[in-house]
Amino acid sequence: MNPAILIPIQLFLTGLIQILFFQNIVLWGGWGIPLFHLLGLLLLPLNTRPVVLMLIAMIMGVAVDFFAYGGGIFASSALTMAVCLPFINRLLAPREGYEVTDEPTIKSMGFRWYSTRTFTALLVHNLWMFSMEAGRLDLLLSGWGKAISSAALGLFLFSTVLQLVQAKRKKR
Amino acid sequence: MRNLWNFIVQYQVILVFLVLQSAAIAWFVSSHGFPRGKWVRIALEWESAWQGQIIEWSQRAELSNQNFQLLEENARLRSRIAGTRTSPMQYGSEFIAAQIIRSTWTKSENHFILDQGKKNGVRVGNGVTENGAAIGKIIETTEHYAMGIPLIHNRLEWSARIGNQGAIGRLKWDGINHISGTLYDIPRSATFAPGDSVLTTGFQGVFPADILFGIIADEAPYFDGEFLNIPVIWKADFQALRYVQLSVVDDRNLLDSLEESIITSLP
Repeated sequence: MNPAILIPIQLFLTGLIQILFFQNIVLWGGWGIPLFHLLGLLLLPLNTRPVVLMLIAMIMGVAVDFFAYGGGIFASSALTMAVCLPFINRLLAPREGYEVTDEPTIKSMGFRWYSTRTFTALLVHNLWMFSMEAGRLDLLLSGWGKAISSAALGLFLFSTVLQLVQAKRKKR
Repeated sequence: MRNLWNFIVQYQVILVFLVLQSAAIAWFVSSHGFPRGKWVRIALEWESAWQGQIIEWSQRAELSNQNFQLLEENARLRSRIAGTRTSPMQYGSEFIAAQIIRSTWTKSENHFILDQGKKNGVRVGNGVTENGAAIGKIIETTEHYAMGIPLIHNRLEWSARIGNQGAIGRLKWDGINHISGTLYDIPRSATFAPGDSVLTTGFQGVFPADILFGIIADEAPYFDGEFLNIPVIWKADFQALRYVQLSVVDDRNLLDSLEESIITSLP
């Protein structure tokens, strides 16, 4: 599908699924919080300009905040992840740099690259979000623990979804 | 001017980040963990309609109608009991039945949403109870839905008493374990034992007096100067809240105006 159509659909769908379903799901007594809308941001092309990435992250975060009564916490966290994402991409870049056709998926970049990038980005997002949410120093440690476990859950969730989608594409 | 433009172009990423991040943090700080205002009312109407629909689907196979009828009957009976009390410490209250369609319990600033709003008589400041146990208060309402904050919100304090005639203190959640809170500022001379009830005082105008918050935990209280801080186990299970009742304290406006007149008449 044409990326100009596919990307907005991806962003809209992941945001919608987060708002309608995943925002009501809390696993392991609060230690596993799925943030599905971040998949939309992580699937944006590798050559997306940082400013555009931040604007999209802000809009996505505000939309999730609006429906989850987050009061800016999702917007702020998504923005922090968006500003770090180009650095993470650069750190993980192959020696010869990214190809124009490279996509941030398991199929295109391999599981090792994909899992490192996804886990690091989710960790940045979650550390920021749970630190803001904790609001007090004595709650910070448990917040960071939740950030790590939720990032692991996110990696598992996103990998599963991508594998399913890719498997479907192969069948066609 | 040209230099300014060059500066903006050169540092556009960091500038855009700072502007957007400032806006997001300002929004977060201004809400102070109490989501209120126009955007909350709009979101309450839209999102709660969807949540209500999900609840409806999930309850198709259940005995929800019978449950709700029993709940309404409970509310009526509680209103009648509250109306017959004669003690000067217990003013009359009415109870409205409602269902929680969404709640959080894993954050440090939690909230819940009810399927009843202004149309059903719900007002900001109403207390919320579950099976006779206090669970929170309403902070925002729309025509059809209401948002409340539970006892497990680390910025709230509640006026509480040990037993019917015991010492009064501040009941607060420590933000860590959702099954317990702490009763602060109890004099060392106070007598109490594990399992004793911790009740509402009715002073805040949110709940009538003598609604159960929880019981004193079987743990040693810790000293804070001249006072004791006592661990309290909540009566309500915040992980499994569903059918609740809203207490409407009849004389709240009267009490508030009386308090204001006392403050203004002080020299």
